[in-house]
Amino acid sequence: MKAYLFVTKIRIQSALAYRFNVISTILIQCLLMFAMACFWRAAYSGTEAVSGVGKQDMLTYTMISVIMGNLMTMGVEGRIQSSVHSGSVALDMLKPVSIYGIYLAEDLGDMVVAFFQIAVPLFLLGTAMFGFPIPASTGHFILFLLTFCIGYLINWMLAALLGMCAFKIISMGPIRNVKGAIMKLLSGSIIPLWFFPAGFRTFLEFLPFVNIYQLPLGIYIGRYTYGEMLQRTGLQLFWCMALWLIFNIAQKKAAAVVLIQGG
Amino acid sequence: MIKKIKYYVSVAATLIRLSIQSRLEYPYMLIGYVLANFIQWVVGFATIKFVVDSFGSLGGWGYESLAFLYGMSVLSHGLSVVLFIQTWYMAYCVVEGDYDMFLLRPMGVLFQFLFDDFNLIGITDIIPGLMVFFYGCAKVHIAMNFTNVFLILFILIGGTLIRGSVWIFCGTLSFWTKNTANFTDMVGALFERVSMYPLTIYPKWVQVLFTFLLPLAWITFYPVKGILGMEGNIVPIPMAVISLGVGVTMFVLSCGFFRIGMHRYESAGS
Amino acid sequence: MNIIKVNHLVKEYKKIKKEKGLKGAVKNLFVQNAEYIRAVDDISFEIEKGDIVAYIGPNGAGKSTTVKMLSGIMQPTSGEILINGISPQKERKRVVRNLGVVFGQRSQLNWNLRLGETFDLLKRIYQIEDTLYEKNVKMLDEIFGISEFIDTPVRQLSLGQRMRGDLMAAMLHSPEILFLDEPTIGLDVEAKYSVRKFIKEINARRQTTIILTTHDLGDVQELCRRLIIINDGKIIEDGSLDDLVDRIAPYRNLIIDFYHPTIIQHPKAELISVDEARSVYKFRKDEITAARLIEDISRTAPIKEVGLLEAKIDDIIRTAYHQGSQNDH
Repeated sequence: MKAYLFVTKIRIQSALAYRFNVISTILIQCLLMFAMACFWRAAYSGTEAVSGVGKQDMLTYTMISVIMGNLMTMGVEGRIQSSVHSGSVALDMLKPVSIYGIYLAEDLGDMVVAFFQIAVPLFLLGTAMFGFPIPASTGHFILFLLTFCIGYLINWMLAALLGMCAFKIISMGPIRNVKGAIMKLLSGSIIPLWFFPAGFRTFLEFLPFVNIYQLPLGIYIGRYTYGEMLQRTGLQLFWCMALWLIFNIAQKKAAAVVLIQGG
Repeated sequence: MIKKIKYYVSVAATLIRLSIQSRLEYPYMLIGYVLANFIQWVVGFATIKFVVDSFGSLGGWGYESLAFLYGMSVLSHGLSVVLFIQTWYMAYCVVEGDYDMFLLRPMGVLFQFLFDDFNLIGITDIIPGLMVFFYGCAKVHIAMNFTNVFLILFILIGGTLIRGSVWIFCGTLSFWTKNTANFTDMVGALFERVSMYPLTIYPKWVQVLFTFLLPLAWITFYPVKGILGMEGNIVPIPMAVISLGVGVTMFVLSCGFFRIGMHRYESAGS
Repeated sequence: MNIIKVNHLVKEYKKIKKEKGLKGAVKNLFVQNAEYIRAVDDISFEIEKGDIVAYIGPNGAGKSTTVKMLSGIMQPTSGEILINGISPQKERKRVVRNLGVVFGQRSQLNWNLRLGETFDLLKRIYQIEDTLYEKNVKMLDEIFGISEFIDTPVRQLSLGQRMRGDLMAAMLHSPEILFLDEPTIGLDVEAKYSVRKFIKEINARRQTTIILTTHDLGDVQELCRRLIIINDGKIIEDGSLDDLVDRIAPYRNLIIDFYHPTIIQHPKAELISVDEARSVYKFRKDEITAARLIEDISRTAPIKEVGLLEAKIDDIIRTAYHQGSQNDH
């Protein structure tokens, strides 16, 4: 465990070295938040509530979604890919720790940094611009935190699985783009699925992506009843476990590939 | 003069041919990007449709005009990705000292740099772009007469140049920062927000900002508004012509800025 | 005729000091300490047309910086460079037209495409006439033997083949001057040998002036008539390799095998080791010749076998580096 904590600490240190990145990221994200808010304000001009959600709820949704996006930086995709290409993956596998554990520790380290460097400033700026994003209730907030954590794991395992494609193919360029596009549009991170036509929506709600953004966010703003929340969290847990199984199988297969090719 | 133009054209043609050949060495990449960009733009457009269906209109724009706006935006985005993609990696080139090679050849550095990586893959943005564009055209019932075709071409060239200039400008900053910070993401988000949605959804000061200070509203918003006849003429010339002018001006300025950055590169080394 | 002139060349860098540790990382967010470093410190030299000059020095001595300034990639802080009477800083395009540059660690060949494609591009960039191009390709092919892999994608070439390709690419426009930055780096013995042969041949056939930086002293020994050693940004030696050897290591070792174990002293040579019948003498070349020494000793005792050891070039260069930095401080 100590080894993983050390990786996290190193990660925090090196992230701090990039002053420029920090400022520009806050700026970009602030802009994004602002632009999305303008979009919703324009959409809501003249109407009070659409699909049972009001304007202020959508502003809250947007703000928290942008902040979540910054906490979920998945370095693991690129890490696996670059270590496969440079051949260092064989060396990594010789280390007496799980490399995936290391990657997760790194990503968590990034998240800690992002929390203080980006999430907190964004939260303050967002509150100044659109008002404090009040969660529906304390209970909702706690469940939000829980579903966020499960969502994080789902997102991380999806990213890791994608990264493992690098064991099989040379270049990943388009695959990561496809995933990025799908994530952006189908996870409800920008536009919640309740604005989508019913058939399409039902289909999307069975995919793992909604569990990353829309579920925690929907809980935060109190969109779901308690029964619905339990049911949806159950589905989220199911996805998390299913991915965990797939991840374990893929991990063994990938290790076999390294052993055969000799890295 | 003509000799010089011929010289540059022949080098540019060779560079483009070589870039296309290199890209085709990895054909499945192309297929992957076709899929990626198709999902990105078509699904992206669909979400706008869903929102407009739920809300009725957006910033005073109906669904039909939004479709046309979106199509124009994806098209100029695609064109700018074809022509200017290497500007996304300028910071990386600075850190790696990639400009050394261009400096060692008896040609302009920016010219070599811009044509060095003609991005065939950008066409994968243009395909869904065309789909949405023609869909939009059909929806707004635009007459495909001589004038309109020219105006649309002007908008596309102007928009492409504006996008490219901003990328060159941001990339050039890395001559000083030497940091591979991702401006591309910020600029990309900005372009998307300003060119795919009507500017009217933003507060007045933002509209002023993107009209005059950082004239991104000229990529699509004003000229599309002009061509759709959504507004009485404030100025006697078509908005599309102004767009083209803005694009050319910005491009010239960004080339100048690149030149200053190059001086910095030459004195700092890598 | 001096094709290259360098006058009081200086290059200063600004270096930002970063502090260590988590505390330092936080501090770096707010304050930055800059210091100036002279990578090239008042260098002057001239190079004659048709010469091959080695420009050597330890890592970070300022070699690459000088080459970059000579080839117009980098602006000097002060001082003047004239190549064929033209300043590469003022008229880059005119100067580089006459320049071939190869960086051993970097390639200008298009990674994904066959070698010939890059040549085709260069033909257009340098506006080489068809007839001249064909003549050059034919002649260079004789030297580099490129035709066997001209249709192979560059990414599939061996390092040695790639270097030959890069050398050829740099020579296509028949430049008068060739800068080679570590041309033999990473090559195996065979490839090194052939690259050296090519360099010699280019120089002989075309009178190309060649400046090469290297860490491989074999390159220096085999190729260069002249040697410029730079350390800490200053030139510390400039002359022929023989002169340098004479000055820095005027000693040689003479190994003599006698028929029987004997100890014989000589006034002009130092007996540095005796092992059974083998004695080793160290003597100064300018004080006594080896022949004379052998003759003197053989008068006292019969000699079975002799061997002469030159000072090792590596040691000489190392001594030169050390002397340079000692004079400095």
